[in-house]
Amino acid sequence: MTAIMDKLAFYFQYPLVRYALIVSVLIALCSSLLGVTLVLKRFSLIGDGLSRVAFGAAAVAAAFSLNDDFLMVIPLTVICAVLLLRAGQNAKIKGDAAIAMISSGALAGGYLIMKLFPKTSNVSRDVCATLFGSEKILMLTKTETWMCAILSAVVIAIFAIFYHKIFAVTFDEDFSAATGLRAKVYNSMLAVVSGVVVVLAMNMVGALLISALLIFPALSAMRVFKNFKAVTVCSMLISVICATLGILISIVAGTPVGSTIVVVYAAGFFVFGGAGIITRRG
Amino acid sequence: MPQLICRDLALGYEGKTVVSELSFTVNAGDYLCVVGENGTGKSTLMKTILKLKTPLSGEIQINDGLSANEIGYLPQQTVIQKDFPASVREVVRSGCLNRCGLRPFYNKAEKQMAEDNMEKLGIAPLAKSCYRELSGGQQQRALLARALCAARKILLLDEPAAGLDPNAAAEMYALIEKLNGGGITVIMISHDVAACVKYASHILHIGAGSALFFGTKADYLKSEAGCAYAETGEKT
Amino acid sequence: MKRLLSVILCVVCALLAGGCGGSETKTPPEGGGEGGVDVDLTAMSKTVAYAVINEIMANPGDYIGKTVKINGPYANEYYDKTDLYYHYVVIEGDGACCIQWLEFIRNGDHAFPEDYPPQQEKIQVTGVFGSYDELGVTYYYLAADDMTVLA
Repeated sequence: MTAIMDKLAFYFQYPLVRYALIVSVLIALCSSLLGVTLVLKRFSLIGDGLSRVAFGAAAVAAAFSLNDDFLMVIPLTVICAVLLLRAGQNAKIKGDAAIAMISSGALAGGYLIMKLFPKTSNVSRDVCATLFGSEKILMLTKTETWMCAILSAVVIAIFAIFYHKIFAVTFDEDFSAATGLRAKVYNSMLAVVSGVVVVLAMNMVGALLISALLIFPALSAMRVFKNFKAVTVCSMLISVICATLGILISIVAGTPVGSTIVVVYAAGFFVFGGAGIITRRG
Repeated sequence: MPQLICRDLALGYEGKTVVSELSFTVNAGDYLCVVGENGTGKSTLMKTILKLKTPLSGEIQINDGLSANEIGYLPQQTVIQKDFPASVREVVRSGCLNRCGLRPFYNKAEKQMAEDNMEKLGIAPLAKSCYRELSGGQQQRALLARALCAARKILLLDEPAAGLDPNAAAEMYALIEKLNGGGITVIMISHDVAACVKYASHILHIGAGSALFFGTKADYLKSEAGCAYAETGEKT
Repeated sequence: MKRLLSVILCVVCALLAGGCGGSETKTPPEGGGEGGVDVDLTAMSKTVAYAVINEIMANPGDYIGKTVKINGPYANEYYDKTDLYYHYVVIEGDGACCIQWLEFIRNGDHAFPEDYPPQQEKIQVTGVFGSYDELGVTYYYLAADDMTVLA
């Protein structure tokens, strides 16, 4: 045990490790909050869809040699999020089909652009890094770190302030709209938040594993808890604990960051699933 | 005092007109039942009154200073809700949101009102229970309590007894009548002809394409449409 | 509810404040390691080692003059414009997907290929980080005091 503590102390003297942990906790907090809403609205796969859009946007940004690709990736992803989430029931092309269309188009288009206008000599490495995250979280530039931290804090603040309204709009959109709550506005807000959170979370686990970050904490919490407040709080705690554990394990053991984090999340889900079964029997 | 006036409403979707030339008036304290076959546009009418849909033509006038913030609505349950992890108290309190404005939290008065409404509908002991573990009747009562929190003057109910067994349905209608007795205007869509005929003060019968009848219950029972419908209702 | 939110707010602020050592660069503390090694990549897991190398190559100015200890497969490359062989230690990140090459130049006289191991052989290099200019491009390398072939 002390050997591990010593190892951790050794790593912690490196600022990049400390910053990675801080940013991960913040991202874990905001993705778990968003995840509860998305899971309950039956939009669990939107994370995957939006992350592929972000991949495509990053490819376009690289083709234009933009230095801080946040400026292109976040707006483009947010726009797609709004299109996907607001079309809702009135869309001619329904939810999951729309996600599939936009996401595969963006992924293919992005890859093509990356190959046609390569910024670096090793395109496969860039693709791999964006899709799987690699150690991106440990290699954020100062600008990226600050952007991640500030945006996460803003998202968390939004959920804190609009908590009850988000609950109402998620539980019953018709009722909320009918009784005077501006449901469309809150839905648009959630769409914008989705776009932002997906781009942030891609730094942690990569585009392909985003959905795990969004849905595992919410689903785990729902195995055990039965009211919205408990589910939300539990989901945040699970997310933070699993993300921290995941990063620490990958740092000490040298395993890939994204996959390690997601495996820890999955383990958390099994733990809570078991706990749920036991508490229901008891 | 008329609260709601509809003139020559035409409702439909995707360019198709479902019903047209719909005109009726609802006064404060009325109990209006909207009846008719499936697909005649009853739910569409309710959603149009609530501004969730726009009419193809015609006019809806809402008087008496009634804003959207004072309308209570009991919609049909969605699939999402049946599986939602929420306590009854959280669901009922969410009805108060139209009073909160930009305020992020409920104040004491709103919390108290939620408790009172739960008490009124007999679900206070269920306040902490999970919504999805309740029976159909209890869930409807929770949603009705929520509608009451939102409503100050008028309640719109879309098939409040749908899916309930006869006892639970009877209890629901009795509750609604008590609320109407307390001064709240009620507009209710229902397939339950017997209940409509028993409780309503006015009836709006929508047939295929147009309104077959609008007027008081007494007139309805004497009218052609009323007799045919009531009879069918009794036979089944 | 309000108490819960204030707790969350405090946590978030603490985290942001913790990140406020933002003016400091990401370099490790001075002379932190034993035996005068400032950056000991051999004591780190592959994950962190790759990140630190990336950090070094991204902000090379902060590391000039620091002693770095590194291990990994050996690789060499011939460049026809200078008619020279260049020697590298390879650092792998997440599988073959992410690779960094750190050039090293051994002090003293060493003949190639006799004094160098075959490609892919694991070696350990300790040296001082520096830079040189060649044909108008700045390159970064380790001035290696020591290169050992790991068994």
